[in-house]
Amino acid sequence: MPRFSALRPGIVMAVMAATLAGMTVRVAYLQTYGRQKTILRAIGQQHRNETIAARRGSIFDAAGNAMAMTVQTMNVYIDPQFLDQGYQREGRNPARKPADLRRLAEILDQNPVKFAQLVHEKQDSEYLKLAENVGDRACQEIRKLNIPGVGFEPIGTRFYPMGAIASHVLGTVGKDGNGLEGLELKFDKELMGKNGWRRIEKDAKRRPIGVDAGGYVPPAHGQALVLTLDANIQMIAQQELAAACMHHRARRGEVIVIDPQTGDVLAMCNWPTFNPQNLEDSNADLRRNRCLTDPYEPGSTLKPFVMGPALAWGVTQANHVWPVRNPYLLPYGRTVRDVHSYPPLTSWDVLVKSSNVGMCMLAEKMGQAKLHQALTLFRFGRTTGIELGGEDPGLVYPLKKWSRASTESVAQGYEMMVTPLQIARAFCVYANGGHLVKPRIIKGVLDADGNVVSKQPAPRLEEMPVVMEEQAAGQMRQILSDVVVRGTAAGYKLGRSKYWNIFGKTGTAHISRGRAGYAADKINGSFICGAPYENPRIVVAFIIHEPDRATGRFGGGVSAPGAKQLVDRVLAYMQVPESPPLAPPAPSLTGALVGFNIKVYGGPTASAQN
Amino acid sequence: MSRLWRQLAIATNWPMLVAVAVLSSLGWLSILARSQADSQRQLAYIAVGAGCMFVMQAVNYQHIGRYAWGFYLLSLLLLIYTIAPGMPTGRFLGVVEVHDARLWINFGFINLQPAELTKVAFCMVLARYLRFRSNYRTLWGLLPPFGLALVPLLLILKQPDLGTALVFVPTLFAMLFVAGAKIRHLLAVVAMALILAPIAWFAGPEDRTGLGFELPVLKHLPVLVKSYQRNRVYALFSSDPAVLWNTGFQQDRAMTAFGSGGVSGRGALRIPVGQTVPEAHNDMIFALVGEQFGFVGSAVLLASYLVLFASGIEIASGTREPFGRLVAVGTVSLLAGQTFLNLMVSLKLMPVTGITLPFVSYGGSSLLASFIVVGLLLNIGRHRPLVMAKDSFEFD
Repeated sequence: MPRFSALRPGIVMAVMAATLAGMTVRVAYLQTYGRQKTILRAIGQQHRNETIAARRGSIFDAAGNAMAMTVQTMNVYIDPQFLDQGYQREGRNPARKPADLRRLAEILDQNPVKFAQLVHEKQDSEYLKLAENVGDRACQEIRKLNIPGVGFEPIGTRFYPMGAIASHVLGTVGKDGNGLEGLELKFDKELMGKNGWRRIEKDAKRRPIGVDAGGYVPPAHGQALVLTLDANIQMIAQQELAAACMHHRARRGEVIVIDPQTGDVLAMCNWPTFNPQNLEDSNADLRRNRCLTDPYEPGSTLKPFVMGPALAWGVTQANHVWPVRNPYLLPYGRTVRDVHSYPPLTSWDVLVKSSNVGMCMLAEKMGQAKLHQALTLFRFGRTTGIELGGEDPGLVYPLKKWSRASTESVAQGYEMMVTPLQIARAFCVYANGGHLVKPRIIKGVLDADGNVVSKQPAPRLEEMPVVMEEQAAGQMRQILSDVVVRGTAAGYKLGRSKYWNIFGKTGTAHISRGRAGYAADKINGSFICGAPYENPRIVVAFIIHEPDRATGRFGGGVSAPGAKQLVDRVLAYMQVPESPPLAPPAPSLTGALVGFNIKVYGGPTASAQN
Repeated sequence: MSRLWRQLAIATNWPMLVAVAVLSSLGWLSILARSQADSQRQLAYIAVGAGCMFVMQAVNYQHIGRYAWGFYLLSLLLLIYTIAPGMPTGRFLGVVEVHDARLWINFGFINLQPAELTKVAFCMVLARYLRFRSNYRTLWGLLPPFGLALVPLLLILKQPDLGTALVFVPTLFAMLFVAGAKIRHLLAVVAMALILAPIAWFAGPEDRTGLGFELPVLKHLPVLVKSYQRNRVYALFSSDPAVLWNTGFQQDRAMTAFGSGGVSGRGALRIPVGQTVPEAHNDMIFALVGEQFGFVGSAVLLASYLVLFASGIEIASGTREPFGRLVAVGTVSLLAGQTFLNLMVSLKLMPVTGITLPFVSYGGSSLLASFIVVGLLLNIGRHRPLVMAKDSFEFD
């Protein structure tokens, strides 16, 4: 060290003093002027708005049975760090801790030894979930124990008490409680309600210190939906559909039961079903409500909707005789075939026997314009406006896109597509005497306390648009009632009921493979029907896709038995009086009908005799 | 006996002892506010530390100075012991690892932090090296002093303990400066560091640095600034609540604690916000002082440090003997460097790095080292000639 400098230590000291002065300024700022800012932010941090979850609304069927409901349960957790500190801080006897924990384990129905071990192992953690879905009673008991560090988290668990019943209509909710499909999605906003909140003072570890009295907004619980569905009818429909699908080893099937007088959907089901409680067991494909999302080519079930207007508009009469030939060669080189060869058929029998050739001849006489008009009359190609999401409008090509071949195709129910819901709704026209119903599935809305928020009275027939005159509709109904007596679904083994007169139409539609034409071995077998004939209470669309050829090749064999069974059970449930024996067609007609036998009329006893 | 006391009373630096007492009590109260158990241990450490301080008076500091190199090498060995692979952990004489940092050796009653001893040993060795030389007045001559600092610095960085490592820098500069190194040489070194700093910041490939871009040559260098360190720097300038709740949480809570204290404070042992400051009993203890005693308390704490440092510098300038003078400057800048680093972190003036506040923070090694340093300073102060007249040969 060459020389002493008195100055340099002084400079070091000056630097240090200056730094300390700077710190003093900074700390003075923080504790005086800057204070407001930091404190305000601290309030923001410490007072956290805690949401109070609104309870999701229930869904009831028409009779008030709960189909979907939310049960509020609690997750119980413990903060093991806080537990130990709590006993110290509150001056409690720490010796009581094991006893308290043992009691807690008992309430939660857990092994006390393992429980204590777990808490001990997680000593250093701040959150340890002890149990999920703990009910109200147990929670109260736990609260009484007053163990420091034990907390509750409310969770709403969605229950579907009827399991797979109407699952496609109801839809599901996701883990976060939001609706994923069906009504749960469509009415998510109404069902969800609005969360409330309260301001809670929390410390840095997010443990509540106290509740701010001013900041409390109670939650608005979700509204409840009342459906037009009847859980019993829905169950019957699902059982019959499942039985038919399994018997025929079909790929899938749909059934709709609708009240033709009001348009109330009584049942709407898909097979295969899924359980909305276990989302893991199903995929989105399985959860589609194909009754309204998946249009298909209806095949022969469309024929009534061509024949009806043709009769109403005077294009033909029921006793008009068509010189059917099998096969029927068309001038542009197409061949139309019937399953069986018939002698000349009346319009009545064209429908009852479902003659393709006869329908083609009729369609040619009608012309494309009237054919197209007939389809639009029943609103095919447009959505029905039901309160369910994802409805498909089906398909009706505009007239200018029709080709020469369209006449024959449409007459047989091809080159156009309908959804099961559309065709069920169209069939209601014949059931209710010419009125076009608007299908609906929501009957009303209740608030969380059960008060009526909105109520839709059952629509009245007089207010509905008239599609055809009552007489024409009645005549069609009469023709269709012959289908189960003399037609494609004839006999008690197929579509005829022993108790009620059913009117319906079978359909066997080959499934399109796009450009490759139609599959010879893959069909949709369907039966659309209503009952009882005298005063129709229900209309049923029973559609089975791709049944096994070994058990059924026609709609009459595949779908009609199931549909008949369904009608029998539903009408019995609805306590509809038995039908009188079906009256045979007017004598002016019977002479022209193919193989007419009066004995098949008059109920099961009469036919048993022959 | 009474003569010895009288001598002590005259020669002892009372302002320094008062400052130490004030700081220790502020620290002890703050620790008590958080945890009674910790405060009892702290009291024991203070007692042991004060004992060491008095024991340091037993011999002339120059006798101690003879063993400087020995101390230095021993402390380096202890440092290597903590970072060498395969050392035992957990048990007696094992390495204690907390948050992936291997800073301590378990000595039963105390977890010793060798870095704390290294700092003191380094001061003495550097003073010993510089006392009769003048070669450090050339640029090349600065190499050995820097080397003496760099060896422990790198070992400590390896532990890793960035805060303690950083303290070596101001100490080295202050001692060289007081010893008479050329100012332009020191400035050159500082300039060099300033040039290297951006290189260190931008070095490394994009996916490792997280900067979002990479520079032509630098991308081939290894990453020098770790991602959590970058985040701490970003957090310093961020007001995004998510960041404040996360990386910036500690400092943000400390700011709130200061604000909570206001001018007059919440009162002793009352730390509603302080409860929530992570590591409040050591790195962020200033915030606890600020909340309990307000700006008044903060000012008292800062003033105590001023008194402490001023007394130390006064001892340095009053000592003619070069070793003692340099040790005094070195130890004072050691304390000051550590204090400033801690305070700047507490006051959110620099990114978070863990370092204790001398005499105030909880921790045995730190307290012990601080008391030994003050003991050394007192020792130097007691052995300086009591000169009543101005030196006749003063130049400069």
